[in-house]
Amino acid sequence: MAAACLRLVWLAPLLLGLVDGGRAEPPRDALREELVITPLPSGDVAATFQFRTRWDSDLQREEGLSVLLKADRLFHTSYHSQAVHIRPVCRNARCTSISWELRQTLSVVYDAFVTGQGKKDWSLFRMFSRTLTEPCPLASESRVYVDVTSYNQDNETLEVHPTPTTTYQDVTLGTQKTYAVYDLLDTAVINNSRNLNLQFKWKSPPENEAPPVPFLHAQRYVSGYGLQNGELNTLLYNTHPYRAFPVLVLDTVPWYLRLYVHTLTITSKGKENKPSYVHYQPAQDRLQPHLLEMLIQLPANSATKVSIQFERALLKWTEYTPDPNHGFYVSPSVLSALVPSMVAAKPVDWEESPLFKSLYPVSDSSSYFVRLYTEPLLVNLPTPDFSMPYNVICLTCTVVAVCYGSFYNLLTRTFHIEEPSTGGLAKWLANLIRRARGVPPL
Amino acid sequence: MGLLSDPVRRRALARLVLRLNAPLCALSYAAGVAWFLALAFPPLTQRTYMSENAMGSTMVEEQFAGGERARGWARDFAAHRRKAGALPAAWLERAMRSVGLEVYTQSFSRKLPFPDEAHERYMVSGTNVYGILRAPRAASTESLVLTVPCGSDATNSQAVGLLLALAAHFRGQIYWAKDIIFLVTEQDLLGTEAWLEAYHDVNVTGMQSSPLQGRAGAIQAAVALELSTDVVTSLDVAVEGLNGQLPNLDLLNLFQTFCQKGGLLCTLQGKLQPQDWTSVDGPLQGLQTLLLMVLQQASGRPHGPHGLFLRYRVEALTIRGINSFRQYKYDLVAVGKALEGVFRKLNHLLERLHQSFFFYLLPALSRFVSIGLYMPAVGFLLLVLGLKALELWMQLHEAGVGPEEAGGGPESSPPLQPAQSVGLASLVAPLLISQAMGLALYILPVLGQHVATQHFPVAEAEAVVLTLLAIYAAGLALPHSTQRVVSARAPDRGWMALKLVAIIYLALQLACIALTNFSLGFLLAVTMVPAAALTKPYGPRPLYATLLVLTSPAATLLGSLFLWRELQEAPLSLAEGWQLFLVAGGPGSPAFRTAPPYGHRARPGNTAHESPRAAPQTPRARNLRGPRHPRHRKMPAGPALLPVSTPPGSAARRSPAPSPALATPALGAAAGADGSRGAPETAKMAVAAASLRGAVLGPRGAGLPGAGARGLLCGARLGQLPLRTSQAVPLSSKAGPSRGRKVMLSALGMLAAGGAGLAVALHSAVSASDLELHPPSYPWSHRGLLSSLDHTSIRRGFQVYKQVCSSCHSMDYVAYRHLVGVCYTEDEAKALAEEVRGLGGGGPRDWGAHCAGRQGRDGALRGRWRFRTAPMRMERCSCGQGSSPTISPNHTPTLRPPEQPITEHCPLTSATSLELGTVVRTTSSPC
Repeated sequence: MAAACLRLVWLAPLLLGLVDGGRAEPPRDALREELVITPLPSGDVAATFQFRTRWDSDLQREEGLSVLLKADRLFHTSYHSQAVHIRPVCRNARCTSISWELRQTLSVVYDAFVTGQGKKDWSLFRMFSRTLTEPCPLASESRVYVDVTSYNQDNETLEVHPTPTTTYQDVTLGTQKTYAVYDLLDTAVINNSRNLNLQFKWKSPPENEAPPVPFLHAQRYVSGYGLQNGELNTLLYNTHPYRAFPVLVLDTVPWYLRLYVHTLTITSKGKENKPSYVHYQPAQDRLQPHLLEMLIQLPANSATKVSIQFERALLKWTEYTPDPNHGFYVSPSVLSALVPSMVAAKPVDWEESPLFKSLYPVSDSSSYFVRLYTEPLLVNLPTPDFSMPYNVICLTCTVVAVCYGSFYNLLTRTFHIEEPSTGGLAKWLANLIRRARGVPPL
Repeated sequence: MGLLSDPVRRRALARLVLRLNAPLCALSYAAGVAWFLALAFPPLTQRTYMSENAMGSTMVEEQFAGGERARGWARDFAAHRRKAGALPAAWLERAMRSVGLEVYTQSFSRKLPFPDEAHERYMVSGTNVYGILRAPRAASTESLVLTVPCGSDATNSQAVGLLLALAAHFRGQIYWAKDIIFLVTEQDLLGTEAWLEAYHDVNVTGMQSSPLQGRAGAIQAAVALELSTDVVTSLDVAVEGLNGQLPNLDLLNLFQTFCQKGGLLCTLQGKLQPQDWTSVDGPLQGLQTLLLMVLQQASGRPHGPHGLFLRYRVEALTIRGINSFRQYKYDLVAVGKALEGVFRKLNHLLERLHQSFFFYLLPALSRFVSIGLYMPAVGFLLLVLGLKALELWMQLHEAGVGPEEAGGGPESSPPLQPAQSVGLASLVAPLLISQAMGLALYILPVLGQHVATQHFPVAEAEAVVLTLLAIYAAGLALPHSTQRVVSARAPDRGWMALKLVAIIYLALQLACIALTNFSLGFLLAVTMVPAAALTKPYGPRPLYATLLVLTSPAATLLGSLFLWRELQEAPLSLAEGWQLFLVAGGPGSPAFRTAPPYGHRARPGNTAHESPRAAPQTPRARNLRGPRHPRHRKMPAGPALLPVSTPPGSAARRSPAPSPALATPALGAAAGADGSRGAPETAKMAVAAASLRGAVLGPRGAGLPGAGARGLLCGARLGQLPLRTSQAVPLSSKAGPSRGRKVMLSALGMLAAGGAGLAVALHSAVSASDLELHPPSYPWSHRGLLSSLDHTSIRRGFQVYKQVCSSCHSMDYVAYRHLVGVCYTEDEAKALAEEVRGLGGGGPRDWGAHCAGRQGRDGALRGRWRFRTAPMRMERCSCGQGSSPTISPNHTPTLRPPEQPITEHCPLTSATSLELGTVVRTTSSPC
């Protein structure tokens, strides 16, 4: 696949200089590419491309999954994220030599509503305006995985075209998932009309079903009004039907929101929830932000509200940003949790399992690790009007103060004629001289 | 010198003030009123202009075409609404979901203080439905709101249809940077208030509502829409919010520009704007609009659902579709296009709307009067009180000088006693009592209502009236408490001191009100100032009594009602006016369901009225008073009656003639100083109460001076004021009196001239402020005669260009040899040139050759600067777009044409540029 290949070229000068063993032995595993398509609860569709390779010779092809990467479609998405991972891997069991693995990931979320004209249906052509034509000839593995979990449960609602030949069962994020697998190297998949356009249709529109929610999700907002006080609220939802689990909440709040730690309240189901661990590092003005870390037990099937009040500080006038009326951002809370699984996960064999397994965090048999970031907040601080009239007002006030002072003096002060001082050496001297000159003395 | 400390001059000055006081007062009052009436005329009104840069032009191509869909939805909504008898929340939810919004509902309920006349219900409940359109690639930190309030009947269904059609159109666009919330509220303003409180997670009105499930960050602006017909002839814009709060003028300007662009007819207060401002007719018409706005603003009642947003610092306005008998009509598409334009422009906003005015009056949609120009009107009125206070003070203090100067009038024939005889202590009691009465009027009816209905067989409304009556009856005891003020030895001194304090207090309070709600302050000042200035304990008592009654706020309210309807060209008959007055002032009337169900009467607690109350205590007047004249006694307290309440429900907003109920002057309630908590009666009553703590300015951060200022005022010593102290500090040893006068006169002249010059300069500075961009001035190191260029910073600058700027801007016309001797040696420059050549040189993958179409130069130093890195070139290739303009010094920036058309010629696919972190840039560029 050309994109991946060229990236190798780009990184080659950087890496090859560092690696000793990499050049000596031939690579064992040249290129694996993979596309995972997952319909999301919100109705959007997530597509994740992964390309993994070991160092190899010059590869320049524009085939395989990379034909789908068309820029103007990729940027009309709701979300995208990309990553490059480079790591050493052992070449043999004893790890006497290593080779380097490059893994590139591109995740995009398509707004299925807009591309599907109001329906949840999707197809490769609708999303990417391309279809798959052939596998990358250099790839040792080139597969498309489609999440068809609901398809298997209920054959009536969903239709996947072409019908998958093989499926793959896996446990991701604690739930059992079924993926339809399309192996592009399998000639039967593409051979029919030299293109593969995956389609996903809902037979009956799933209107009223509540979208499934993840076990742990969160929401954050600022409450209150006015420019003096406010409250930071974080809502933590545990939708697990019967298991409680702890969550580590990490908040960093800028110093110009002065937190009142005594107002920290955590309530779950109307009762106070005492955190088992609280670490608070107070802010220092202009030096360090507040750091608040708590370990909170979330009861099963509950919403927990963490709230803390703050006061908005007055900044020095040079500390305002050029767009102070936009507000100041407060970074998201970070939630880390071991969420109990519904289904026990098997230990993973990284070489054998699909590449997307690495996207999900390692989980043991009973729980899996999740790190969530809540939304960032925009908080307005009391902001002076940095416009010309403001300056004029300041100036006018100064002038008025000055004028008032003089007027007051004029109106209230009385002036006396000071008696001429009688003595003084200078006067005496001057009079001496005057007398000498014959001029009347002072 | 010492104009005031010199006894001779002071006496002369005092004589002047005393003699000219009455004409000065009259002149000042007339000037205030005249100034106000002149506000609608061109030198004082200015043309509105857009201050916010982000909204400067209307370069938006409106594409909304969903008129048919909007009408279909409107029909469906009306049908479902009739069938359900309430807001069809489930249908609305489905409709919103079908256009792809994230839909949530919120249910709320509120116990009304009084049973609704029509439905006999105490509990009002409803459901709000709102859908959020999430902006792609944004983190939901900011949002805009489009809201449609739905009342009890099937009005506004076209607005709901248009809202849905706009949502469907907006959903398909990718340019949104802010989330958009589409909100449909039930029970009109009650629903809006419930939603706003839940969104901001506060509870100021005792509303019970379910918490919101979905939020979209800080709301930047909101537009409320009211449409009840498929076609409109004009759109009416309402700006007045709660307690007279106004949205930023830029929001109005924005809407107006889009109306102009779409050729829509817009009105303000139901009045078209005059075309001709040069003749008298135009400004006169503007004056009518201005008066309507003043009456509306003074009522303190929101002129539309937008008014509730303003408290949360969300700039908002209401747009109403009017369908009159005009020939030209616009369909929903035209309205939708105007709204689309407004929302797209608001979407561009980087900051909250803050550039333009927050305090203004509007004589027409495209004309405004800024705060600096309308404040003198109320200033002149308050000057009357100031002059009067000065006169009283002088009479109090100059009286001891000699019998021939004791007071200007022949009335005060007995010489007054020295100042010490009127102690502060004697004034404390009446002040405290009147304050306490204001507080009682603010709090007790509410408390009394609960208690009375539990223990006595009375209705809620009756309980309030009875409590009020009880308080007024208790107030009758007030004169007894002022006995001590009027000592037997110096009767005049007593009432003078009391009136002095009262007048100053009144002036302060009026000034505070005028600052936050000019209209209310002005209306109160116009009526209360003459009464406060004129009343004395002697003289023609019936005349004073009549004057007091006529200028009391209750009479003001009645007069305002007639003026209001007159301006609206729907004059009232006397009986109708009285009915409306009862509605506005009393706790509900059977005639109008629109009555404020709770006649909350907050007393201004205005100590100005203590002067008439104290006045009868003079020996001459004492026999006039007594239980035989209850009316007399009540009227001094009577002016205090200020109906403030705004109806909790909705109906009042739709009333044929919204009565401009004067909001409380907030004085009595200020005594409570607990506005944010108090008055849980109605949704908007608490809101009105909160005004006392600065909710009027609320989000702007200013607050009214609270109890502290009052305490200070009451505690101010009357005796020795600083003006009495003479400071015998000699300034000059040689100055005689004549010279001193010269100095003073010249100083005065200089100050006056300087002040005038400064004012002119400042005026021009203010006018020029937001239109000019001044070039920045930097302390360049090479500015001086003997200094030269700082070579290290040149080197730094080159580094910055190389690493940052060069990714977008080429400098193809500067060669490496230019660097030699400036910041690099020749060898270094050569090395640099080689380095760049090496990056792009050789082989089929020479990006430079491919994309820029230029070969690398052989002679290194002749070569031009070329630092564009490969991925950027690739981006250009894949996009087939030109590059950013070059910034070479000897070349004007041009956008070069695309050199290599499309991907085929590029050795890299777009995926490479994806990988290397240039993605965001690509999206933001037009490719």
